[in-house]
Amino acid sequence: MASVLSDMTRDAEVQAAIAAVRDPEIDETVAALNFIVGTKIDGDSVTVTLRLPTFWCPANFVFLMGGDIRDAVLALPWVRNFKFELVDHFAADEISRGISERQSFAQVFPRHAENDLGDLRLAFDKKAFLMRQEALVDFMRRAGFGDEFLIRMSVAELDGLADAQGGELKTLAGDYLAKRRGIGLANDDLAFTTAEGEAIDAGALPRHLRHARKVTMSAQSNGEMCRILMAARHSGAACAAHGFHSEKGNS
Amino acid sequence: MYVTKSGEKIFVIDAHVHVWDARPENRRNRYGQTFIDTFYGAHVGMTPPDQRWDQNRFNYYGAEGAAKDLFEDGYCDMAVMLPVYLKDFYINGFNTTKLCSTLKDLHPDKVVLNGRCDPREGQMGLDKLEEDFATYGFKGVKLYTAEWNGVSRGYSLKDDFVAPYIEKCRSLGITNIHIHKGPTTHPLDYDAFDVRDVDRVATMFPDLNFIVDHCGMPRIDDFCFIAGQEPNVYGGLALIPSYIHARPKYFTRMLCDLLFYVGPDRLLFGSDYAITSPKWIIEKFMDFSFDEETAREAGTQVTLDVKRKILGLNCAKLYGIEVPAEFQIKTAA
Repeated sequence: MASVLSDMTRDAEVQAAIAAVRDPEIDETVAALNFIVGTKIDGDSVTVTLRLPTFWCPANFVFLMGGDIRDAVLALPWVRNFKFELVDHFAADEISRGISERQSFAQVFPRHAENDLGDLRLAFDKKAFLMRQEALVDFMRRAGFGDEFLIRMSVAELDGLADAQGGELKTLAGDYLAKRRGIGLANDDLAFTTAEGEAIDAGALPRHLRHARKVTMSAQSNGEMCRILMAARHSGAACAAHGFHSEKGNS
Repeated sequence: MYVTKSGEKIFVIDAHVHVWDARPENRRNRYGQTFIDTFYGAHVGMTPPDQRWDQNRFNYYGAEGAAKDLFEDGYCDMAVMLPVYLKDFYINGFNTTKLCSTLKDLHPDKVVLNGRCDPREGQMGLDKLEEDFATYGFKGVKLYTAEWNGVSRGYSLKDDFVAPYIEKCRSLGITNIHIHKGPTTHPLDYDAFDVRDVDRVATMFPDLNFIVDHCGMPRIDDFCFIAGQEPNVYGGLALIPSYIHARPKYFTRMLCDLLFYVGPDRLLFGSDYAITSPKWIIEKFMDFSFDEETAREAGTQVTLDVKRKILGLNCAKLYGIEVPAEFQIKTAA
C-alpha cells in the first residue's frame, strides 16, 4: 500500500515536471497540446509516452521536446532511469531510443542530419521571444503605458513593476523575461529590444510589433492545425495506422 | 462561376486540386496509409459535418467525382492540378500526372494540368520532364521538396542539382514553379518548412514565377518576408481558406497578414481538393469580410475586387487564361 501511494505521489511529481515543457515551434505546453498519452512509474524508473497529431510531425521538434521532457524528469531527485516512448511516428524507434539513451540528434540520424539542434532551437526561441514581447507590450499599452515609456524601460524596472502590480502583468513579464534570458540577452539592458538586442525607436515600434504579430499569427495558426489533427487522431478518424499490419500482413 | 446575391459574377479558378489514389491496394507500405490518414484527419477536422466524406471515398474519388465536386457543385470555372508522386509510398504513385490527366480528358478546357519533376533524378529526370512536357504541354511544374526518394528524405532548393531543372523549365517555356514544403526535408536537423531557399531561386530566375503552396505554412511569417522582397513569388493559399469553417478567427488573421505583406495581387485561391472541397469554402469566403480593425491592420478590406483577384484573376494571369470582360474588375485598378 505504501508503495502504491508513493507511486501516486511520484506520478503527480512527474506530471507536474513535464506539464511545463513546451513545443518549441508554437510555444505552447505539451499539456495544453495534449501530447502526453501516458506516464509509468516503477520504483525509481519513469516512462513517458508521447503521441503527436500526425505520423509525419517533424523529427527535430519532437527531439527537442523529448530532450526537455527527459531533463525535467531526471531533475526529480528520486528518478534513476528514464525511458521515452514516442508512438505512431515515422521515426518513433530512432527518437525513442535517442532520447532515452541521451544521444544527440546527429547520432540518431547520421545519414540525414548534419548538425545538432542548437541553431534550430535558437531560431524558434527568438520567435517565441517576439511573441511573448508582443503579448506583454499589447497588455501594457492597453493598461495605459505609452510607447516612449516602454522603449526606455530597463529590465530591472520591468521586473520591479511586475512584482509590484502582480496579476497578469507579472505572468506575462515573467514569461517574457525568461525567454529573453534564454536567447542570451543581458539583464542590465533595455527591457524591449529586437531579438538581436537592438534598441527600438518609438517611431519604429509599431512596425516592430506588426512584425511580431505576424510571428504570433503564424505560430498560433500552426498550433490550431495541430489541435485539428490531434482531435481527428483521438476521434479515430485518422489513426488507422495501428491496423495496417494486420490488414496488409506482409509489410 | 459564383454569382453574388446582387448578380455580380466571379470567375473561379481553384489553383490547387488533386486526383489521387490512396486505396489500400495501391499502398506500398505503412507510409502510404499514414500519409492519407493525416490528410483524412485534416478533412474531418476542417470540413463542416454535413459535407464530410467517408474514408473510402476519400481514398479514391476518381476523375468523375472530382469533376462533380469542382465544376458542378464547387463553382469552379477551371482547376489547376498539381501532381505529387510519392512512389516510395504508393505502388503506382499517389497523384501522378497520368492520373491527373484523367480529369483533363473529361474537361480539357477547364483543367490546367501541371507536371512535376524531382531534381534528385539527374539526367534521367531531365529527360522525363522533357518527355512529359511533350505529352502534356504544361505551363507549370510542382516541386515537392519533402518527397522521399530512396535514401533521400527530401532536398533544398539551394542544392546545386536543382538549378539545371529550373533552367530546363525555362527553356521549355514552363514559367510557373509550384513549391511545396513538407515535414521531412533533408537535412532533418533544419527547420523542414524553412522557405528561405525559395528566395535564392526566385532571385536567380526573375523571369519565372514561384508559387509557394500553402503560403509556406506553418512558416507563413517567413513566407511573408520573402514574398515581400521578391516580386515573382506568389502565395498558393490552399489550406488557408480551409480554416474558414473550423477556425474562422485564424483564417482571418492569416489572410490579414498575407494581404498586408504580400498584397491582393499575388495570392491564389486553392481548396486543396480533396482534403477540402471548394463548394463550402467559396460560399463562406464570398460572405466573408474583415472587421474595421482587421481591415486597417491588413491595409485593405476583403472587397469584391480583392475576392475576384484571389479567386481567379491572379491565377489567370500566371497561366495566360483569358477571362471574359464580365468577370473583370469594373473600376480602374
